[in-house]
Amino acid sequence: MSAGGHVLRITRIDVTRMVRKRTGKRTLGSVTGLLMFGVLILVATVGGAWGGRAIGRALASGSLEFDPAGAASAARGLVGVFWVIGVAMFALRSVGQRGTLTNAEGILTVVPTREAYVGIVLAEYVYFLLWTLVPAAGIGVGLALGSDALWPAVGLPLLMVCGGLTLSATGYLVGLGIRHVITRFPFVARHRSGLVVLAFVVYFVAIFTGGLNQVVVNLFDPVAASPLGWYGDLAALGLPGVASQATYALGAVGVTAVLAPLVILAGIRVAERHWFADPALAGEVDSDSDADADPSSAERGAAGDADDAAFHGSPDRLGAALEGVLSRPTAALVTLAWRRAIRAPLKLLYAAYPLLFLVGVIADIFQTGQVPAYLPYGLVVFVAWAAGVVFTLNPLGDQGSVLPATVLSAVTGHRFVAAHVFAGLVVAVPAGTVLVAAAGLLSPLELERVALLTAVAPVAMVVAGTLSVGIGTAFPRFEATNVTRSMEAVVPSPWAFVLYSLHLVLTAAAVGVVVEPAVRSLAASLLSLLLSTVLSRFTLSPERLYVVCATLLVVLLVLPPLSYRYAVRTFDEYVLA
Amino acid sequence: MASGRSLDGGPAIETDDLTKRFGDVLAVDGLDLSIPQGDVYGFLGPNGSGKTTTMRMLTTLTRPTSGSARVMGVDVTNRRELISVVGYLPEEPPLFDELTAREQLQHVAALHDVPRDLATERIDRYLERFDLAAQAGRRLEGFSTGMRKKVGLIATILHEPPVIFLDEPTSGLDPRAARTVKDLIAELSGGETTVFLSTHILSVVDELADTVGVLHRGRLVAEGDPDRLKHRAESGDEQSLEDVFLSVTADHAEEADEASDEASDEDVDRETSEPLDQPDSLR
Repeated sequence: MSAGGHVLRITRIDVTRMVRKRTGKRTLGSVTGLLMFGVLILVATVGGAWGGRAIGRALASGSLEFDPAGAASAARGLVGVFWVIGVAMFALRSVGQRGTLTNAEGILTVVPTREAYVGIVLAEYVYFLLWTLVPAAGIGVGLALGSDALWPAVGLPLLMVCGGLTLSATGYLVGLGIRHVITRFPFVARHRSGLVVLAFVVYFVAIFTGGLNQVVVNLFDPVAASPLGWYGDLAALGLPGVASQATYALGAVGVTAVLAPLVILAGIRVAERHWFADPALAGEVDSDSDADADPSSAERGAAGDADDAAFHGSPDRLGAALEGVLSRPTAALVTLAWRRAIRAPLKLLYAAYPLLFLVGVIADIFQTGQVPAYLPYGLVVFVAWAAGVVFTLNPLGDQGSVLPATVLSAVTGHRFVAAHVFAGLVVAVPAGTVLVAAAGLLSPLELERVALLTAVAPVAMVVAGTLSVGIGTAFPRFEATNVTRSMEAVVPSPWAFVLYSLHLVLTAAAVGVVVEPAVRSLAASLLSLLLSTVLSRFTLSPERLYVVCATLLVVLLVLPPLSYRYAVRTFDEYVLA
Repeated sequence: MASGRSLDGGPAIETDDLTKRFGDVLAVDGLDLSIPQGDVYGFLGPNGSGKTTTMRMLTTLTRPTSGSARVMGVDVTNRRELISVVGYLPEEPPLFDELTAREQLQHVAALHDVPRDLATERIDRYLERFDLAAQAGRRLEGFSTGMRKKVGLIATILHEPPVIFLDEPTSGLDPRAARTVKDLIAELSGGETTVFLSTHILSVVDELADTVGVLHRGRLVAEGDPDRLKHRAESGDEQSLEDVFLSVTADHAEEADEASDEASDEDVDRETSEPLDQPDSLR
């Protein structure tokens, strides 16, 4: 088979594997994922066509008045910025899983590295086109229909074909380079977790403070003036009122013809170094290869562990201290939970995901310097939620292959469950309480209300911890899933997440209705309005809602101790099949 | 080293018509075992023959569909009692990659409530014996297959149970490490620990086992001490344990296929099986 044949085969196998991975299992997650993909593509294509036609019409009729040269420059800047963002996204994929060849030994000992590399880059390119080509065609057809200019129907898909090739190739190269530094340089590799956490913090601070927006704004003009901006001409050529130039559009094709091979050649050089370089930390290898094959890994691993021991102190000291208050097996489980969390903190990243909903709020706080009055209330719910997900929402799955050994030890269900709840609450209660108190003091809430919320927070966390351990035991998850593009971890199952979160939200809502007359009136009005669409002339009085919520609250508050007991019994009777 | 209950010479492991079904699949079919204390029992069988399921039932990790079993007199439905008398090493050693070897062993010792000083003494001793002392401070994620197997084995015997179940304990080990494991097994059985040893490496069984049982399609198709099995085989054309294994599993594969065909036409009289098909004839 020719080199081209090898490349295409590697690409085809990669894409086939991805498709089968997404469609092979009829699980709730995979079906939802497929459905989401279909809906997103459909909405982007149909919506894009509709929007494109409207813009095309507006441009053709002159109702959108632009300076033609300015409009062309804006198109160049916009497309250029999107190209850079796309490169960043593909680089992130490459830093994560895509920078590693699956079954590397089976590929690199069979075909030259350059063929393997090009095959993988082409696969990345295919994934880019899977997401973008059809919507781009929709937008292009819409623009063409609205403006009576034929070119956009061809130009936009051509933009994806040309721009996508350089974007995916550049992204893969950049990501592979970063990956090489992260995994092959001992100092960086040893501090990888800290550096990734730092990168996340910088990223979020940049979002909250508006720094990221400023970066994008600052990028706009340089990319518009660079050859990358010519991709904008490829997309907007022929549109009325936009002074795009055919030479630049042709130049964009030329840029692709020159840049793509150059980037791919550079990538091959990086791959030849990276794929054959020894990992800097023992155990950080990409496959389950035998470390015996690399004697030097032992030395490097030892160095890393020496550093680790110096940081964390004697491994026995913590356990010995805990044994003063807990039984020896319980203390061992608590120590284990903490030690694993400290050594792989990114595996707990999912607990911070709800903070993404607060991006707007936190950005406002940074920019206005004021904490809104509702934030401490929201934080009580968040800290309670977080306290229940970290160590207790998947206690069986967290044990992984070690579960049989734990089951066959002196650990009883009571000890097992208590250890996980204790491990979570000892960390969450002080941190969560301080967070709520600080937010309350900085907010315009009265001191009495702040004190009340500060007192409620630890109670809510204890309730959440005892609730989540039962739900997590009832719906365990043992297989790993991606928490970031680059890291797999065993996270709680979707059912556990949904049921636990639902319970918490319902409890918070019921408390709000029972305690706050204003919330009660508002909720009664909203529910009456909502239900009247189904049941005509239905009204829900605040008094009736109070009774309903008070009753619901009793039921909801009975569930946590029952959940705890269920977890104890389940562990005691646990069998593998 | 066995430190469990005394049974006054009764069997360490005893099963009676032990059966496990997974839906329509019969994984273990009416298993009858009686293994004396201090014996090494070599448990052989092709892939998927029910060996791991049997070990899981005997360690309470899987519930039998029917039948009964006792380990050191403790019923396998009584996990709280049973855990003090068994140690189980699955084929894939149960380890936390984030821990160092020493931390893993300290963790397991604590789970078994082994006093701290005693645990430290045992851990040091076994780490030394398995040439792991120098690597004990390294995280397990960097350990080779063989090193992981050794750590798993140490974790299995740390609380010194009277009965240990080992699933492929020597696979992935270099000859020196395999020798250490075999010596340990011999030493344990010499000290009245009963070892239930599942492996595909027939030379290990040949060297160590007091009794060999061959499981095929969930049924015990041959059982006896290795020499007698081989002697019987020598009366035909067969000369080694491997030949015996191939013979009894092949015979039963054919028999099972034939029985399956015949069952569709008429009832099969199980009493008409060939002598080699009957475990008792080899005991």
